[in-house]
Amino acid sequence: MIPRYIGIAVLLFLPMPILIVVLSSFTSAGYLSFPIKGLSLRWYAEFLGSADWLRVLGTSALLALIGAVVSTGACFAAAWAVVRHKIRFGATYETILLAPLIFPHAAIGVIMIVTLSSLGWLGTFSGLVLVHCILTIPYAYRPVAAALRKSDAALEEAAASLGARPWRTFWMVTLPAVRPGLVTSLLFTFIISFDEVTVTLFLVGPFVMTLPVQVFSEVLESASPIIAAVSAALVLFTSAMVFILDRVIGIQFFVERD
Amino acid sequence: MARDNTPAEPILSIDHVTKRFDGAVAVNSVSIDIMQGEFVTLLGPSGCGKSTLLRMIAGFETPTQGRILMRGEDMSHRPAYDREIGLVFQNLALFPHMNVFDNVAFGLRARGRTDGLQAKVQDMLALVGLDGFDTRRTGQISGGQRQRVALARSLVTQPDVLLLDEPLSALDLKLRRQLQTELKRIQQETGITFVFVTHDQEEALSMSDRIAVMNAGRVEQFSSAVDTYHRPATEFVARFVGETNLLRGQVQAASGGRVTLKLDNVTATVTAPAGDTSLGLGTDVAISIRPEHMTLGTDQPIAAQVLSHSFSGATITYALDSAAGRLLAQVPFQPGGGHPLPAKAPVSVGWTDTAVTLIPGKPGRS
Ligand SMILES: Nc1ncnc2c1ncn2[C@@H]1O[C@H](COP(=O)(O)OP(=O)(O)OP(=O)(O)O)[C@@H](O)[C@H]1O
Ligand SMILES: [Mg+2]
Repeated sequence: MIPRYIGIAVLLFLPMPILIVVLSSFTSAGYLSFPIKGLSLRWYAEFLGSADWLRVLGTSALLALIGAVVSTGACFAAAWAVVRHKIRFGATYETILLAPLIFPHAAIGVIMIVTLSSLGWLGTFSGLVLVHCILTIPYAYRPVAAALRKSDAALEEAAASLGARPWRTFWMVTLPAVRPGLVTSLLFTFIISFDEVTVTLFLVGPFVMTLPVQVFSEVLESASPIIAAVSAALVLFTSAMVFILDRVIGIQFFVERD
Repeated sequence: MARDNTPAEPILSIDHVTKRFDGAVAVNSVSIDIMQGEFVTLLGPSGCGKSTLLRMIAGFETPTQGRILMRGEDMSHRPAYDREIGLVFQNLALFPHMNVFDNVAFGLRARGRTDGLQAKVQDMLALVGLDGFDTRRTGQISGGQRQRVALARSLVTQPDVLLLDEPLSALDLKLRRQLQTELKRIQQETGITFVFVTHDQEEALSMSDRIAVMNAGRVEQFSSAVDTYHRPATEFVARFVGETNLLRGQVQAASGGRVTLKLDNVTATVTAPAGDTSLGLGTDVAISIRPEHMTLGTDQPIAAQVLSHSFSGATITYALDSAAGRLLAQVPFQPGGGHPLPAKAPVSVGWTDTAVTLIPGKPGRS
């Protein structure tokens, strides 16, 4: 058997890099280093005072928001057809929807360059939206389909037998039942899109740039501690979102098997 | 029962309805007419198609063949929400995110009948004995109370027909008996036509005006509760509804509305009312005699031996081994009346001819 202390060591080790990034963001020095020289908030001030950084932050947030809503909506429609209407080849469609999970990101990047340039969308915001939807769909489909499977179709039939038209049934019965799944989907697709680097790297251009890709290119050019400040802000923001939503609605669906 | 004196149009007509799932027949050419205000039960073993038939009436499944008519109007293309048919589900399907009041009010709101909504819901909660439960969540009430909420929710819109799919099967026996009585009272008070599904024959007999006994997708018999028990039309019905003794034989003579049978295994003849069936000599038939119509004594035609007995308070039922096979005989129990007889005690059994039901058909068919 593996000794217990190895497991504990691994668990303690995993968050270490995050801790280091957060700590080094408070440095007063002009370059990235660890341990830090002096304590200051100057890199946070620089981040929030920079129009460039705020612009890419805005782009990333909008991109993630649109991506989350579109892929959650699309996955709800798909899961509805597979789970409720039990369409033929439903299992095959599910596999296709989950495929981006196992497809190499570099390959997706190349495929998308070709696809977007033939659409004339290369280096545009719309192009990024399309790609981010494709990338986030697996993360949306799992929780939405699981929630639909878990909610009893008899509830919808009961509503119909009581005279509720399809839309009323949808709003009053289906939606409340699958809400935790939808929230989980929105949350995770938002985070995945907000953090996405590998594929986006192929597709950004002079007119559109996302926050994580900007961080990446900054790292290549300089070692400014502003990168640590941006990263620390991202970590804080993501954890806060997960924590709040878990408290309010519960996000058990993502881990649970469907 | 209103149907005896009003030759009115049935409120619900099921007209040669067949349902196939991927080639497998779930409901097979069922035709029954149900009258306004009737309490009709679909009775049959698991998998015989009761729920499927109910779901077609409610509009959740489409018949493969045949039509379903309400007051003479074909329902085929009418969606479930547009039929005035209530449905109480076996698992109740109460809306988990709504309280008791909102569950009951759902149908009125959905149909836009919000005038006097508060009062209607309160009246209905009172009718099912749930005063003061309005703000409870559905997870905070007992099984029997959930049952009542489901009933109130379906009744408040005053549907033309209320379908109930084994609504009591999840409850314990005592609560079940209590709710049976209450269900019957509510049905009579509201005058709403009930179509009730169960696989419990006692429940069916005690509650129904008429019973449709189903077997493998077909309706074997559709008749009053009394006739279902006392005049079973098939061996299946005789066996499924209550305990019975089935004996097989051949027609020996038929005259004056009565037939004389030569029974297999025993050298006895019985005469039985032939009903409307005319049977040729030598035809195979079966007879059904209920255990309570058997006579136990020492001078009866069939010799037997006691195998075991079961005592149920007012009566005692003997399992007997006889020349005609295993028989059941139920006799009244009186203290000091010599019962129970010990195992292996020699007895003889017989019956009165009027209690015999003749079932035409091939032996072995069930
Ligand atoms: N959606 C379906 N797809 C395929 N077969 C089905 C479907 N619904 C029912 N069946 C089949 O039809 C037959 C009748 O089923 P049904 O549910 O009507 O039986 P039931 O009499 O209600 O049984 P129970 O007393 O167990 O509820 C069964 O053999 C069942 O497997
Ligand atoms: Mg059923």
